Amino acid sequence: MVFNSLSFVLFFVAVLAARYSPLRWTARKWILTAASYVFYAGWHPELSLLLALSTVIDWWAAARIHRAESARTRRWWLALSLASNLGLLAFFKYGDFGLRSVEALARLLGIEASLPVLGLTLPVGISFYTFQTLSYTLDVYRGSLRPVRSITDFALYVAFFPQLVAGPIVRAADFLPQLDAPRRPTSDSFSWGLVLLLLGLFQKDVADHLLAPSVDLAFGTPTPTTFDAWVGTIAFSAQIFLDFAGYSTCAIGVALCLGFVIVDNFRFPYAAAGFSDFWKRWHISLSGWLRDYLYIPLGGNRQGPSRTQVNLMLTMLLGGLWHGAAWTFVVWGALHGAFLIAERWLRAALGDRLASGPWLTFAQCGATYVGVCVAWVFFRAPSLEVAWAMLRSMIGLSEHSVPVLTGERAWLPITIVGALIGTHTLLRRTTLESVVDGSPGWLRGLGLGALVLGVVLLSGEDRAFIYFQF
Amino acid sequence: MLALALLEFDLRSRGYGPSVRDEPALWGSLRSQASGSGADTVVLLGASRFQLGIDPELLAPEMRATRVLQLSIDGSSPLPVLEDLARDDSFAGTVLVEVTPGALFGTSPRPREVAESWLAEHEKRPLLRDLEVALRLPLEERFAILRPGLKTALVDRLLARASSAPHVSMRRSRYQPADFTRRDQHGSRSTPSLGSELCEHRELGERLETIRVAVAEIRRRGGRVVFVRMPSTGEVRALEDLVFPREVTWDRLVATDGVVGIHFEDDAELSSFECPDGSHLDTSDVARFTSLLASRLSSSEPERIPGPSTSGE
Repeated sequence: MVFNSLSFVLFFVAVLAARYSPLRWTARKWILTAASYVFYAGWHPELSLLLALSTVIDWWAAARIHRAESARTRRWWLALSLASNLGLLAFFKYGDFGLRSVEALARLLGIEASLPVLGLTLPVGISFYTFQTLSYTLDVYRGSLRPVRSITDFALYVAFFPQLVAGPIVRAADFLPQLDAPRRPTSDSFSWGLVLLLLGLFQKDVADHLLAPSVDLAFGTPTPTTFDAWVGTIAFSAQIFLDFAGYSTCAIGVALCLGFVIVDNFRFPYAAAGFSDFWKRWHISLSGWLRDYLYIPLGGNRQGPSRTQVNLMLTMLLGGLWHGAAWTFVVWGALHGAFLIAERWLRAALGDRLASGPWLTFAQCGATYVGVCVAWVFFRAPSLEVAWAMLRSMIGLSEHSVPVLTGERAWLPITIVGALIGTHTLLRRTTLESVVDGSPGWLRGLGLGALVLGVVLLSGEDRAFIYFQF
Repeated sequence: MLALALLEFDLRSRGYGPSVRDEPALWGSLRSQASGSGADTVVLLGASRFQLGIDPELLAPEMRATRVLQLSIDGSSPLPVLEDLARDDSFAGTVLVEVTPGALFGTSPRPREVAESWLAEHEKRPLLRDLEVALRLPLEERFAILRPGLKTALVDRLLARASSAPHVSMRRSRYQPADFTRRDQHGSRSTPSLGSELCEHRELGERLETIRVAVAEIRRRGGRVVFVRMPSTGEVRALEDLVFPREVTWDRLVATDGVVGIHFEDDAELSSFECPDGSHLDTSDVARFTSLLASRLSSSEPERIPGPSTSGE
């Protein structure tokens, strides 16, 4: 089931009715858990079994880790959790990618190998819920979290439908305490939740109907012109943001209507001054996860500059691979790793001079955006060949190019990207909620009306959210 | 709400009526209905010429069929879906296959890819697809503001750019009545292009063999397959005759074992239709064409090969 569907409207009304019914809190949590499984089964019911399996294993492993008396036993239970979660992820998501990569490597060595094609259906949201459940067992292992006694509570934490398939990746320490007692949202927070749901749907519609056609055209042309390559790329930068932030906004809004608070996942990322700033604003729940469970355990920045660079690169490479089983994502991660390393080097060399004055900040924001866009080429391109062709076009090396982005296919994405970057720049030091709170009532009403109008009018052929494939 | 109502009124006053979206989910729900069906079901396989030229709701009573399922896909080749129906053991109905020379005999892989992508989407359909379609259709049938492709109209309106209301809309049966008297007078007319050339002799033979096998399989189960060459006129017809000569395409097709076909050129009444754009019928001609086609079908292959009974019979 997706947020931008009529079946979700029916489903959500039913869930709200159950949530605000006079039933006991335990019964309502059961209903929320069952509803989350219904939401997930809307794709492929059989894949709910994987979700249930992952839930049971981690709940059990965390309980055993907590009770274990020796460090060795604790490690064994943690290993079980890691192996089962990462094993399922590796099998379903990276099975074919691994086999094809082995084939290609064998060919390079002059060996003709023909390995089977698994052709498995990728379970929706497996990357998200795997990281979510892993954070739970890892936190229990570290002793920073006590395991939850009720498996229903844990199942609801893992399967909570607003964030189940495309994040944000919610930490157990943030969510589980909210299950202890019923929290009835105020009418204000309920209304704000509905506004966020509408805003998310609007973002998704803009991404699908006003940006995707130009992006598809530019990336579908073998040798785009320099103009088309740039417009296609910046259009994708807006598309991926509006698509993914749109989903997160919907998730946060839906959760809020149900009385739960989910962490922010985006903070105006295209106004980032530097790549480390970008990763504090983009997919915050993933970058936080990678920092806490990968970068810091690897040693972080505590073991000298060289080791820090290696750690950064490893973290970003794995972050890239998390997004998809393809070499394009690995290159995307490597580019971000390289950007972060270069930035650290620059900061060390230039010191305070890098952070002084509005013009320098503006230049940093511009340079960061361009770097992020160059990396987006690899994220969007279906293959490395297409990505290289796009990059060649971007620096004016394309030949026999025919313009494909003309008229509204060009000016519409340019206008939207301009508006998006302008908004991010204006709001980079604040939050959407505080801006709305500070606005006069008539402006809020007008904005809400425009959102409703936009969602209805732009509801054309639906595309799945891009991040569903991760 | 007021703004939406005003916009609905504005759109209708400018000729934008409601129209159902032509997309894989609705197509897929009709494809699901084809499974398990028998002699009382007629399936239409082809592309836009079928979608604009045959009204399933009129064809059903003419052919004494319980239902007519429009499985044509704009710009596609009928072959992938024909093969899919042949593989579906539970299907034993009548299949009408549109023969658009460029799509069936051309070099371009695009028509086949289009059909395959819709089939693939049907194969991996989510559990709630049909529910979503059932919820959406009544709204799309009633409100012009839900019309697909409205973005362009709104942009035109925003820029005060001259444009005409679309002359084609779609019903839930996937029939697309086209009123060519309302065709965009502001757009430029382009020279017809088929976008494809005749495929190589060997490739043509392989496609005909694919057709033979699929037809034989459907007939073995008691089903029926009839190929239909829809009318084309003017420059489009001249170009099709030039690039895809009848003797190496249509004549070879109907000479294939088990293949039955109706070519508009062989029938004085079917060839009397004029296609305003060279390749599609106007909605004013559809009722007569549908009726004529049904009468020709009833005389083209009356016998069915007795096959095993299916759940639909």
